[in-house]
Amino acid sequence: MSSNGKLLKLTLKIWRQKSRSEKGFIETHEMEGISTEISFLEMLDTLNDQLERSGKAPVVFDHDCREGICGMCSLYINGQPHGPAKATTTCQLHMREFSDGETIFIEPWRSAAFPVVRDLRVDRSSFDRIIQSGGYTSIKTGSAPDAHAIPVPKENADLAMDAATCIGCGACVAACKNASASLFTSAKVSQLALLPQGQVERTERALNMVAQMDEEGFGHCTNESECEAACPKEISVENIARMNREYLRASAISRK
Amino acid sequence: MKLNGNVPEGDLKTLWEQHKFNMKLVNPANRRKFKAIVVGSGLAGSSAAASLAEMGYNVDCFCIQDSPRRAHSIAAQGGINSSKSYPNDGDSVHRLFYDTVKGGDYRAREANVHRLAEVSGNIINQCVAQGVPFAREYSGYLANRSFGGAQVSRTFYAKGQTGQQLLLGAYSALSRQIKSGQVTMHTRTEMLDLVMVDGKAKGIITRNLHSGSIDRHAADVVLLCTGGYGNVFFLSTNAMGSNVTAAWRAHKRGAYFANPCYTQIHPTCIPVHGENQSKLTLMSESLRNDGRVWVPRKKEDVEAIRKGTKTAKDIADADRYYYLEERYPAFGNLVPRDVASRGAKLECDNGLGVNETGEAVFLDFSAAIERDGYEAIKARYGNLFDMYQCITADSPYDVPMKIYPAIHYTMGGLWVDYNLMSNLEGLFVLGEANFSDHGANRLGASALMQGLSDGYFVAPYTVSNYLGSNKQEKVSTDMPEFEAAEKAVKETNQKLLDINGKQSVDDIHKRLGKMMWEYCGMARNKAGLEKLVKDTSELRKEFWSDVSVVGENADLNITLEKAGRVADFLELGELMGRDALAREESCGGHFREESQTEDNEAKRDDENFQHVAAWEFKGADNEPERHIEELEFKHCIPSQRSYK
Amino acid sequence: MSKCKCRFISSTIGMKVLMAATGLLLTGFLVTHLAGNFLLLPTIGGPEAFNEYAYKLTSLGPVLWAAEFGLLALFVTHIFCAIRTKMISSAARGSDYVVRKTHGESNLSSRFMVHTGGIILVFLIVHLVTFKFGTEHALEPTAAAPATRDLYRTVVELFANKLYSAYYIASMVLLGFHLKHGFQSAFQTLGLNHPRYTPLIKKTSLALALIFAIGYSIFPIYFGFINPVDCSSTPCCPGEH
Repeated sequence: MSSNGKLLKLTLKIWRQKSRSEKGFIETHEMEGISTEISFLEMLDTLNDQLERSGKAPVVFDHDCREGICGMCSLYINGQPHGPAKATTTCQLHMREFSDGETIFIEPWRSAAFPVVRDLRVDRSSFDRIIQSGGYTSIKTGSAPDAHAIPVPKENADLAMDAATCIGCGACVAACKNASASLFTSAKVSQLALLPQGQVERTERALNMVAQMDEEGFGHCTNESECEAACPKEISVENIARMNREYLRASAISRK
Repeated sequence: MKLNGNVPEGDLKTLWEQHKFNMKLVNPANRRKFKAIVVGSGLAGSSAAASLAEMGYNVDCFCIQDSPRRAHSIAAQGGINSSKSYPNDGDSVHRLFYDTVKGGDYRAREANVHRLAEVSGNIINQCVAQGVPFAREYSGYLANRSFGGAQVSRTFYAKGQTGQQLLLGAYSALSRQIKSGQVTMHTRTEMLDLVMVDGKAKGIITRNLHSGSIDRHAADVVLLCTGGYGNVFFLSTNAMGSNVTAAWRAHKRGAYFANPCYTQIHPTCIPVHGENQSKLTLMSESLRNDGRVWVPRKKEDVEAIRKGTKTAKDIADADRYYYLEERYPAFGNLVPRDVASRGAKLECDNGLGVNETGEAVFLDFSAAIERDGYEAIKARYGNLFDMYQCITADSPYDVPMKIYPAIHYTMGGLWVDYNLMSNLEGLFVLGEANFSDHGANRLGASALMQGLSDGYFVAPYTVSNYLGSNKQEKVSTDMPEFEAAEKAVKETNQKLLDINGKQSVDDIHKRLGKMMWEYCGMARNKAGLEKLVKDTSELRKEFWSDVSVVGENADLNITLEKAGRVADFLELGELMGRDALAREESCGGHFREESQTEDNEAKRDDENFQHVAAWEFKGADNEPERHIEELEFKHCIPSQRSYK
Repeated sequence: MSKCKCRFISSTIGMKVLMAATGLLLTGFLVTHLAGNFLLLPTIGGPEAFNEYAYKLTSLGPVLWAAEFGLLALFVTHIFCAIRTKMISSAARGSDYVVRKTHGESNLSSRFMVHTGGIILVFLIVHLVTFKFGTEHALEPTAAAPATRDLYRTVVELFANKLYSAYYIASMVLLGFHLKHGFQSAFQTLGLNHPRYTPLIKKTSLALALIFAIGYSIFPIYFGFINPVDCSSTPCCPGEH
């Protein structure tokens, strides 16, 4: 780590929007003396600090854990969800990824199912409703059998874990030209389809989660893997194929 | 006043079973008549809300994030302990109980800890049934690892994301109840006050973080599951939004705050890089299994490294001071967190810190890579190394990591009895927000265990007992108590908006953090703590006269949110100073320089301080009152911790 | 059960599955059609062979009508699902980004599926109008084939028009583009993704795209540019000049 890194001069083009119903616009801010050692969000903190000191409304953006796991941070940076670094959330993105004099466009996730709340913050409760429609096993507290009652092949457990690493940030939707939530939904469908614990409700889950995904107004999947490329947790599109299989199977055998 | 922990009489081994039988029940048909408020949706909150709803209670659950899935429990990396003893290596309920009491430096309540160890097995069962993808062996059975220097392998894990997977499990159970209508979820909603009616907790006042609307919520019982207060230090490994406000406002309504000075400092975090830094990042404790901690022996080498004229590789092995290995030959780099942390501080205080700020030590993997090979190390720590490189641009495969301790967890919290109820009737406190199970120091992989134990297996019984054994007068939000509380919240917010000062909220928060770290961090002494109490009090006055909060109350206002939280941190910081000052002994995470052994180890004073200190709020400008709950140790006989 | 089917068809996945299945079946049709076309070439077939093949097909009668109806159904379903999903995705996207980049497997082929599909639809109509329902030249009846159509002549006369041939070739190149993404994408949609087989499917997709684009273009190239018939004289057959 070099002492304070280099100092950058940047032009920020930031989306500002007061509310869902109001029209948004791009606002320009010139930033100077931004160290390459700080994180992208710390750079935005600096901007907000300046704005607050001059009595202006700070830019609203989502963030929380700042260690890449809570899924709260978003931001569409220079045409890419979570910015230019691969497999990295916005909160883990550092300014060394940018060069002096660069212009950075910062936009919110754009999708009809993710309405803008303010500025760069969007409402992702549609994801919660997809999980609520079936992303669980209906096990009541206290009624579980011993954890070793059912062995799970290691390969399946590992694949389930890979799917379960989804942080629900919505980058997949943001990256998709169709604003499809297929990668998000399929990650949960896959996780539970791969485990014996998920078998009991397998059919209902696939039908209900896909129905909810559609109802929320997400688009369909055109298999271009933009979601996988944007996913900070590198969730594979293999999960989408698995969800499709699950859905086909469920549609064929469901008695409802 | 001496507090009573309400631990039932009887044999420790059967205490919880017996207590479950003795507790009152609520008829299934009557449960729908009761409503519980659960504040927070982390491991404790989600599991409690889901479990109570499954039983038939109506639940209103609140969180400040946009989804319950984003609570900070999600960031826990290492694992979750359980006394299942699958590896057949000598673990048992009693051993987990014993290790936890000893690890907490004999400052936890035995009965609580024993119950925690008892239900720890059920937690794993529950999570597996939910579809939590724990790591497995090729046999298909669950894998375990040893964690944090434990001598048995009792830690279950899901890669380095155990907290995430457990939280998503609890969140899925909660989601099922939201779908069924049994839980009403209020996201982006912050609790700003507790409402007491006739001496019982009967509701809360909240602010909708999007619209700014202040709302009243009434219930029969209130459960606070709002996590720890590490962000009082400004820089910590906590999430940016983690705060003490819900717990603190309950404290101001009469709930006692216990052992606030017990904070845990994690030894392996990425060091601070500068003034713009917003938070610290933890590197898993497991790194110490293979990494060797060192600083240069010679001052001139330190200078050269700071200037960049030398790198770690240029220092000959003989000139490297592997201080943990030399001082603790038996445990070496695997000494407990508090010991490792203080070791780093000691060397940096001696001027041997290896970065520009002088606050970093090396964690070196070169010997491990030479011994086990690049691939083996990559398989073990690849994701952590990548994360480190992402943040610092250095590759730990080539150069040693630089690490420094950081605030990570707070053992203190609202005082609760054996039933997890605070001194305020009807106010239950679960998870990190309470003080109960970790004593003065928490063992690795025990936080997740406690959160889920409280939520899944303790609160459902004890809350039912409370509802079943007391006549619950129905309250409505029209009552004057609600009106008064709402008015007070609105006035406080307006007061913040009206200050129109010059300093930003973060300016003051950063200054508070520096004070706390300096005087109430890894080592504390009388003079420093007295200064801290005075300085925090003055800083609080400065805050209320010179902070600048822009925007309006009845609107989305991120500055106002922060300001309210920092206002509470300022009062908490002062209390932490008082608590640390009053506890004239060293124990676990609380190290008083006046109380140490000849080898600079923490020295307890069991004669005078074998108790819980629970503080009663007497007004922001008045001295709080210190109450005591004596601790008895019948099964774990206190001894001096030694890792030589 | 009927409700279940309706749910399936109206879901995004159901529509995509229908589109994938019909797409794959239409690809099968393209293979047989291409095989038949090769009878146009003098080294493989020639006028007699081609016309005989055409006659045999038409003489299937009801079987051919059923097949044609099936084909029509495949096309209609494929196109209907494409339009429906496109409408859904346009609504789902809402407003667009100011700056947008792609980093996945998105490419010209995948991005312009709807466009290439539309162009192929227009081509299909032109193709049917000019060939199937185009100029009918009668052949002298023989013992084997009484009073049959000289489809061969229709084909070569049309291809002799260089503009028409160029249009035909361009359309076939776009068909290749459509298939390059479409063929492998159909497998993914149908849930067939496997680390061992998917790379092979993707290569097959590229190969098919090339085969169709080049294969179908051979005829307009040959009859339009290498060996065109002179349409001013009747009857006209290539090689008579």
